[in-house]
Amino acid sequence: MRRWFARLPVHRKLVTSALLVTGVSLVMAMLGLSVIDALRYRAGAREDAVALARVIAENTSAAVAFRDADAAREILASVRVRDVVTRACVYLPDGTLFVGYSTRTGVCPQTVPEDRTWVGVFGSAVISRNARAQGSVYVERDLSDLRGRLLVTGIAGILMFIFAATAAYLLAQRVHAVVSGPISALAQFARSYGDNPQAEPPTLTTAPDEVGDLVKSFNEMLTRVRTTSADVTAANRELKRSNEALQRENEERRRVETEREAALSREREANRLKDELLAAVSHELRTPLNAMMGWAQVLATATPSEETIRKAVTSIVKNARAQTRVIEDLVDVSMIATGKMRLNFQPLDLRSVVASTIESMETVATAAGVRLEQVVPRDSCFVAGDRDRLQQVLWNLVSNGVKFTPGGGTVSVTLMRQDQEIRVAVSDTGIGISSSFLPHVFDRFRQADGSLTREHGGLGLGLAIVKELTELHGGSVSAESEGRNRGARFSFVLPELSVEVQEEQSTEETALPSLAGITVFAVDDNDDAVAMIAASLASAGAQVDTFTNPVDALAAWQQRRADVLVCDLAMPHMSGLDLLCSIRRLDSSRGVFTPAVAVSAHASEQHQAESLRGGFQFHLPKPLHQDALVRAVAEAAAHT
Amino acid sequence: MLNACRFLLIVFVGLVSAHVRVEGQAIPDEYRLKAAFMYQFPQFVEWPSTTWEDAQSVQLCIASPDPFGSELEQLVRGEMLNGRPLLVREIAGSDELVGCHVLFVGAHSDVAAPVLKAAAGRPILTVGDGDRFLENGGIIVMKIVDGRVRFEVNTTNAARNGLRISSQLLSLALTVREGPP
Repeated sequence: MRRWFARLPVHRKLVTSALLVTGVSLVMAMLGLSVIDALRYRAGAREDAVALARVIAENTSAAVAFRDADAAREILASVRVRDVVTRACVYLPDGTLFVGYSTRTGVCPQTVPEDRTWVGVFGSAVISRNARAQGSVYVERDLSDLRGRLLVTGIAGILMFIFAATAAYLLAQRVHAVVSGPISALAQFARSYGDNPQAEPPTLTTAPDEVGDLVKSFNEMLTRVRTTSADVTAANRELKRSNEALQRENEERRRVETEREAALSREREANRLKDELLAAVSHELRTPLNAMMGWAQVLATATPSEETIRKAVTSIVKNARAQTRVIEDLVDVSMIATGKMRLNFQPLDLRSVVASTIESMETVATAAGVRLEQVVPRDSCFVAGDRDRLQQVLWNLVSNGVKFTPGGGTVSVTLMRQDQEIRVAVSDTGIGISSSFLPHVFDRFRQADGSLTREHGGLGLGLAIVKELTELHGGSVSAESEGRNRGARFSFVLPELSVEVQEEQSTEETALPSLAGITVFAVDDNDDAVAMIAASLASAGAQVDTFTNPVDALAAWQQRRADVLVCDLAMPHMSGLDLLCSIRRLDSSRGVFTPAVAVSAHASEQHQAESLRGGFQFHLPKPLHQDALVRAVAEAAAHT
Repeated sequence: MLNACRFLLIVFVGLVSAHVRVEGQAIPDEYRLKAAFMYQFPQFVEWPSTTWEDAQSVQLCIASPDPFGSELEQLVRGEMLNGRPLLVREIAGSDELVGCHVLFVGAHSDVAAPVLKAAAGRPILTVGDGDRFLENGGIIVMKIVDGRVRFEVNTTNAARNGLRISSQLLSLALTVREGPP
């Protein structure tokens, strides 16, 4: 209703207002008058009823006194002329109905009624004679004639409204011409202004009232609007530009935030992996250490039996190898990760790598009750690669297979040529890999079972190293498994070296050289280390003098010399390099040359290069491999 | 006030009915109803104003023998008319008429003729139930019609005694006679 009114044009509003005001005032006035009339009429009706009751009481007093019901009824019947009377009842002093006049709208109750049981208005009177109550009279009348009066008032009101509305309408039309005419003209101009901003405003002659002010103000405003609209347009353009910039900035900020979150989660993951690694590393290092310590303590007892000693030594060697393996893996991973892994590429036949791997794993596999098989082509399979590293790759895969294959199973290595590539597949009949873990099998420090109670030890580095090394060779790795207990198959593929090159004769296949008749000076500040060196060389037939202090060794050298010097690099009082320097000086004065083998826990290439520059012929990383030491000493001895 | 009146009335009716039960044999029903009429009539009659100047009470005189027994006496006990108490008195002869305002002469009264004759011309409302009571100068005669007590009025006799009968009472009368019989 309000909206409808708000949408009306001004002159309609004026007319509507006039009609509304007229109508409302008329209705209010009529209502007020009707209410007053009704109230007064009601009061009159009540007086009327009372008066009628009194008349009846007076007239029926004798009839009541003599209990002449017929006479009383006749008197009552006279009220019939008043058709508004609905009931007239006469009661005896004891409250019982004497006579009653009834119409269709009501009958007299048998006893004196309570006031509220009467409909409409009623009046009552006491019949008394000689100051004694003889009975009572009740008269009820309805207000049906009031309804008629109100209807007449209503009709009169409607007629008056029609007259008043017509008058108000005519008057409002006249007022419109004066008041809203100029406003309508202004509004029409304002509407057309949007289409034609250059149009001139209508010239209006107006009275000096608010409407006149409005027209004047409108014209002034129009002038101002024209001058400012250009500014507004420019400001709008500027606002849009800055909005866009703001949006770009927001996007940038959001992007940075996303990146930051990603980095944070990466960092968190790395942290978690680092923690896991530390736990695994310490576990892997400690386990063999425990075994070694245990056996060492057994050996330290007074008189261990021959059998015990053999068992102890076997176990200690096995565990030391395992620990070495762990440390080498760690070093490899670290070197690969820091990009310091240097590969010594040369043409090599993968068949020989497979053969030597199978050979070296044979003992372990037999011990585990696992059969090893190899399928190799008749033709040579040349690739460009680092023999040691490729051997490591294959060794990792085969030992992995053996590790995860229960007794009675088979691990087979298959070598094949296809499309300028050499494929090496290692398949086993072991516990297999679940499909959920399969994608992560080559990740660093990942094992299918990460729990503390896992059955299979290891750092989870073997396959990671396989992947990294293969990729450094320009190849790729893959793993497949049909699920738990269905076995697994790992393969790596390397590009085939098309030009057939004679492979370098492998030294490893030859038997260990004899060191018979060769004298060696072994120097290491660590008693165990020097004892181990001595034992290894002595087993190959060499004669070894051991020193734990380089100064003692130099002093001894002045008395006698040896064919080969095996020397630790980092020692107190004198470094291995200084010792070699002094010995070489002594040698040159005697006209001899002593080849030297450096052994060091510093296994990096940098250290290696440093010691070779310093005059050593060989650099062997610690922990020492017995065979490597014997070969190095044999080769060094050949130098002289 | 109305309630109190109603209460008194109930007590009164109770007393009456109790009496009727006790002396039902002595007082015929007819006279019980007539006694009620006797009590009502004076209220619709206007005496000359001089009548009340030295009267201390309103006396209802019953020509001997009294057929109402104690009925009428019970009815009027404590009642007032024109500010004076109502009294019931039995008279044996016309010489006892002095002071009477209403005189009832029963059909079987021993002293009917002389008393009625003596009352004529005096301001006494004469009421009776004899067959020729109005012809003998009485004003109101009660009759039994269809088991109900009705009455006839002779306004000439009333005017002769200086009494005015209320039109309401007249409207209830079986017949209203005017002029001498």
